[in-house]
Amino acid sequence: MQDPAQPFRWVLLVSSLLTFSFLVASLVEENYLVEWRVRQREYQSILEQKATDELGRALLRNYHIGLRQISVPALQVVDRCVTCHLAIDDPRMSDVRQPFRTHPGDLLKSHPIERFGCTSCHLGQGRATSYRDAAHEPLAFWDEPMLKGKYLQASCGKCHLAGGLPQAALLSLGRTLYREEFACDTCHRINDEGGTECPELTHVGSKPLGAFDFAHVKGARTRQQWLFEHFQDPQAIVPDSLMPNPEMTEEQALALTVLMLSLTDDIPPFDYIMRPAAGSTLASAEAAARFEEKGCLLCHQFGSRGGVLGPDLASLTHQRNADWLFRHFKDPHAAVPGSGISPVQLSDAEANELTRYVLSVQ
Amino acid sequence: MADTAAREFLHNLRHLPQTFKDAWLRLGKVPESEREESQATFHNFFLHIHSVRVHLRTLNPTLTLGLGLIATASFIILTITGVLLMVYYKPSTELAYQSMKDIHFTVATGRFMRNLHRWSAHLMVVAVFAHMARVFFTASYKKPREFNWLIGLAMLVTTLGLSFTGYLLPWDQLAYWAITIGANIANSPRELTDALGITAWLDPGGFQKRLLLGANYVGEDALIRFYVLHVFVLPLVLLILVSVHFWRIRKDGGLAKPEDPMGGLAEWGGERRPVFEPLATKTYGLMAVVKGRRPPVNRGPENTVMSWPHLFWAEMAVFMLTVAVTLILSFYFDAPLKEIANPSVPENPAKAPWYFLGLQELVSYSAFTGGVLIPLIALVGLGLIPFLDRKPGGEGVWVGTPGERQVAWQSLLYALAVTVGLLAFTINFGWLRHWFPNIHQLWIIVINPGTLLVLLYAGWSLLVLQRRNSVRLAAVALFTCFLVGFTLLTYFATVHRGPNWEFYWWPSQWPVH
Repeated sequence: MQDPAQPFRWVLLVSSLLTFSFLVASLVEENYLVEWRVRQREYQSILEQKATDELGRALLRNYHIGLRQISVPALQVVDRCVTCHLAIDDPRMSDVRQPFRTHPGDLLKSHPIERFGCTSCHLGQGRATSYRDAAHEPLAFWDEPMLKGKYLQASCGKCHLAGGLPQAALLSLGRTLYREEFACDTCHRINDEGGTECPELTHVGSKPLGAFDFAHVKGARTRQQWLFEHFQDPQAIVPDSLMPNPEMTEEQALALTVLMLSLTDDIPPFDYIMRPAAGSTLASAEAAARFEEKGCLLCHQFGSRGGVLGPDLASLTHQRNADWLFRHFKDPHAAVPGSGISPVQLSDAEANELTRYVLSVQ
Repeated sequence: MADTAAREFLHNLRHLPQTFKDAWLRLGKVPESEREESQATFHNFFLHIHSVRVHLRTLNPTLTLGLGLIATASFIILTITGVLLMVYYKPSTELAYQSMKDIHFTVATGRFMRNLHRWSAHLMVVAVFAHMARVFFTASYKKPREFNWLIGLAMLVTTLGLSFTGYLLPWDQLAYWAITIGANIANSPRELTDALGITAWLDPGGFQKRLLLGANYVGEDALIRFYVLHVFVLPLVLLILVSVHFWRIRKDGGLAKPEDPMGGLAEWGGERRPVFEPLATKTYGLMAVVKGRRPPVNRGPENTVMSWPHLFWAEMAVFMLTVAVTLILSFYFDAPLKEIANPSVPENPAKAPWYFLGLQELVSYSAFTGGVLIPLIALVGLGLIPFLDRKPGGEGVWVGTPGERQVAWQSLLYALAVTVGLLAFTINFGWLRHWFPNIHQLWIIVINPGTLLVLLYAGWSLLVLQRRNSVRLAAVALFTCFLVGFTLLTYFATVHRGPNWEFYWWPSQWPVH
């Protein structure tokens, strides 16, 4: 007698075998073949080769295979880059192949990796754990591919707010060009400075890719490519643009692109901001001293310091312009009726100085 | 005394594995006789919803195609992977997207689990639709199964709700804009109230939208609402509905089947044997006092086999097949995750989840038609089928009544022709607003390609009703039109609608943006 369940037994057998084999495959993939594990095994053999002295042997003994990450809550950064870039702060590895090579230069000395992470300067996708997903190259659905070569200077501008910076020549050039050579601020606005007729540039470095029109861009679909081509010929990228063609050299276009990329909405906390040198048009060390001296921090939170009695000044520039701040410094009770602020006597010059300072370090 | 008790204790301890096994498995071995097989079914909480014997037809894969089981299996996979994802997912606009990234990049097999969840969700929606079509074309909704058809309809709506609420949770651009479109569909009664100028007093659309989103836009409130619906309310509702649905299948006498499908003789293994004749003095199947006809009441168990093991082999086979298919899909294809949701950067085109794309196409003609009128007509119409078509016949056989196959084919061709024709016309020549720019919106609400399609389908069904003099055939005509319309509009909106909802032959022709 033929068993009516016979065909089902075959289906069950085959699909069970398939299920089993794909479960095993994903197990092997997850625990053995996944890219970062392969890299970490490669690194282990490099460590073994280099374990010639006591330090090397100790490093090898303490080495384990596992995800690594640097988390900097202040910058909202979770960077798993060090899962593959395992020797980023190990000077012995300056001669090995990537991704195991030591970080070039001495930047990590002044910018400790625990305090800055990786993506706060390099961009890319810090949470990712594979080469592709980390956006070493432009990646679909990720707006911040890694900044490379000269474009990397843009990141310096996030903390080194104003003036020149010798290590970032292009950024410095961009700042000079913006204000002096092309006077972009007659029409464009950054924070509260500049004209209002043209698109605001305050956060242009974080503008989502989806908000750019790439229909006429010849190169890659990245923010920097759009900006670079746009500087060279605005009408070629935005056909009905009213911007006069600045007719700039390639280096100038590059410098201004770097400047634009530095204008992000990813604003570092107060204590990351590098105060510009004295004499800068934007702010001065004296203003910072004055800010302390007048006792603002007794009540107001500013960056990671200050009291809790008054409003937090962290997002001040998003709410107040220079004019309002100046009026407030002169007569707080007129600007905010019912304010509980202690009376402070400030000259016009002092009020001006504090206004510029508060705006510049945001 | 103490000595005996201690000995007894030790004896019990030594035999613990055996007694535990006996208590747990009860039978304690593979059933050998039919009596033991029926006990295996009957004494098990999970199996006892089955009858102990099952008709041979039930085991025929071409009768049901296993679609209900596939939907159930997907639901089980979804529950398991869903609970695993819940461990890592954080339902807050600040953290949701980051937690998706962490599930992808750091949670062991996290991406795989998410893929499984995504693909089995799609599979479940497809299986539920297909199961409804199967039940319709085998006339399995007829008495006494009318109520179960309604339960099934409620399950269809719950399944769509589950899939839709889950769509928002990744909080990426795809999710955000799909739900924005979905919420606007909920808002669509406003087209009518606006046209009548009564929105200020009566605004059911705005109410629906705010009820869904907890605000006027998709934000934190919407996310937490969708999350609670997705992980608690709707699964619970579906679980209850599934239980009732299965219970009713049993109580309605198993799968629908014709009166006496194989005559007086039972067929098994090519042999025809006499049907078991019940003794007048014996009561069969007291436990199965249910409506409808099934083997154990006043009939012999003709053409039945024991559920254990035959039916359970079949069920396990379908279950494992579903698992295998979703595993393979998940191994090779990653679930999409686009950029983080950004209200200031609209996706163009912004498309609803695929099963709502047919509606979105209709909404593009008239929001009220696509968002309210047609879904309402479709749901009410589907619900009424078993109550309007009550003449027995054709149960459990694909397009089983005379002329049904012919009507189904004719309706398929007719629906294809009028739907494609109407779409082509609309794309080439536009619609009322295009010809009469100042026309009152009420005209467009009343006359648009959507309402016209409804009329064309209904008219065809009435024609069949009159010509063929059969309610069942009219229902077949209408249902076939509905299926073709749903499928075609879904396909059309998926493939041929590009930025600004304009027509393109292929997505590759969309303008670069």
